[in-house]
Amino acid sequence: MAEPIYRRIAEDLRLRIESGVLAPGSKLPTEVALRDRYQVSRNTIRDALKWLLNRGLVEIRHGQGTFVASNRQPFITTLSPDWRLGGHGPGGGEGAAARAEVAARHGTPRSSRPTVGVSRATGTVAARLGLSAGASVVTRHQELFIDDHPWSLQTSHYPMRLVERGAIRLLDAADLDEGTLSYLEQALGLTQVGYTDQILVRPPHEDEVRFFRGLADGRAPIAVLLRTGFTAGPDRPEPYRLTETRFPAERTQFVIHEGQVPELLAAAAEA
Amino acid sequence: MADPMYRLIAEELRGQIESGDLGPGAQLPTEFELRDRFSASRNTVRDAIKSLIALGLVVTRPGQGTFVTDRIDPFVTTLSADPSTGMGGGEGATYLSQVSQAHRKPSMSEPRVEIQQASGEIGARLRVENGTQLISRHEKRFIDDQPWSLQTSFYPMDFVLKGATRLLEATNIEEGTVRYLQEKLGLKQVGYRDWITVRAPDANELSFFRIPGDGRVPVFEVFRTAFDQSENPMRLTVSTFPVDRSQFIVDVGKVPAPQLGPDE
Repeated sequence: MAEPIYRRIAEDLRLRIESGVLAPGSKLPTEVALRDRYQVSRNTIRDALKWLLNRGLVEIRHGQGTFVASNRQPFITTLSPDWRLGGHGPGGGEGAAARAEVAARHGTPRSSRPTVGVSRATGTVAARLGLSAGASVVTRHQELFIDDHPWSLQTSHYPMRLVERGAIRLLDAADLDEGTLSYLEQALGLTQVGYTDQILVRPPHEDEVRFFRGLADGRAPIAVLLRTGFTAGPDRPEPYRLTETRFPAERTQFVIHEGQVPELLAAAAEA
Repeated sequence: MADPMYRLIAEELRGQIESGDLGPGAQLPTEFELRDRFSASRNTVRDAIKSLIALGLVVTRPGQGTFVTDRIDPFVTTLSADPSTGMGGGEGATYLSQVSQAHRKPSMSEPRVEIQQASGEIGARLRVENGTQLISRHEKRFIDDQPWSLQTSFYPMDFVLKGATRLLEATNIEEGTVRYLQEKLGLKQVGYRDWITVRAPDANELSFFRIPGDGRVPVFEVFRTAFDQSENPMRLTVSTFPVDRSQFIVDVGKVPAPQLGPDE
């Protein structure tokens, strides 16, 4: 399949942006000027601009035009906990740790009110949580933003038995201020002893195209982070929560530490 | 804004494909059946099929119908260190044993060795000046004879001058470079940082991995910086993997022994 024309134009503009010919903060030529230069239709130019927008290379200022983004840094998520804490505590990439990382690098994190539902576990969710297919799970979903820019979509699943045992606030359609991990520790005495992160990249679904303001051509890939949290069980660690977070893949980077390594914020200059 | 009808149809079919209800190689219902089932026009059904083709989920064979594409069975690489050896996941012996444990066949090319100057990102991650001489060791990896990843490791030229001359040999270092550097130079790897990024493939990757050139399949690019006992970077390994055949796992703290297969 040949490359669509809008992508070639987007690629040309991307090179100009990355080489600095179009400097951060500078205004892009108008739609008319671009149509003229590339000899294509308005829709083709709009698709090319959307492609750049989706990758965070440009930003639209309403009534003023399209500008080269002034902050084109990728969103970096550290998956490991702080090794100085001995590998305990919540992992990076969620709750307070994630907010601190965003605030240090990018801007102000913000989240929508959670949508809460109860559904029957199927496929991945049942397998990861060690439930039989059809078992009830509580699902909490949130949209996350950085300075009003879409950042990620997050959905967490908890076995219904946690609610039955007394963690009823899992059903509240409001933020659990102390974070779900601390809440489960207070309410049920369940401590997270470890977690497994799985990373994959796939073509986007409709809701993702809409939320990340992508192009409906299936080519703005989505990075999926699946985190299964474990608590101590009688014989071995037992899964008690599954969080799926979806990011625009080409703007997202994940960092993992193993053993003794220099601090990340100092190392951010590496990237 | 309501979704156009064709997208709703496409999403429903995609759901069936991803859940396995429509398995690899299965034939989709005919255009006529789909029109009936969704009470949709012929053009709407065709648009839905077109969007699935664009996602690489189905192929149309003229005169025969539309079929779910054969999916590559993804391989899941565990990036966290092997608790028994402390060796980083995905490297050398660990890579071979991880792949073999999954009852699949790993293989790799002999390394190609080059001397090059540090520049940009490579130099920054190794914390050396641009222009510093580096040894690069490049190899190709395969699983079940399919191209799987391209890997290049960079070491400061200094290491050779100090006696680690086998870094220049274009053969695999049997005991692994981590142990070799410890024996030769007393450099102990105390930790590493993995940095996972996703980007469009370059021309070399397109041809080696045989991925479609239409921008559908990006590649993971994983940067692993290994640190010695003084917290200085001692090695940088850059690996690329097409996203259609690779997933990664990171274990932290106490988790059960791996039983996870690929997802989705």
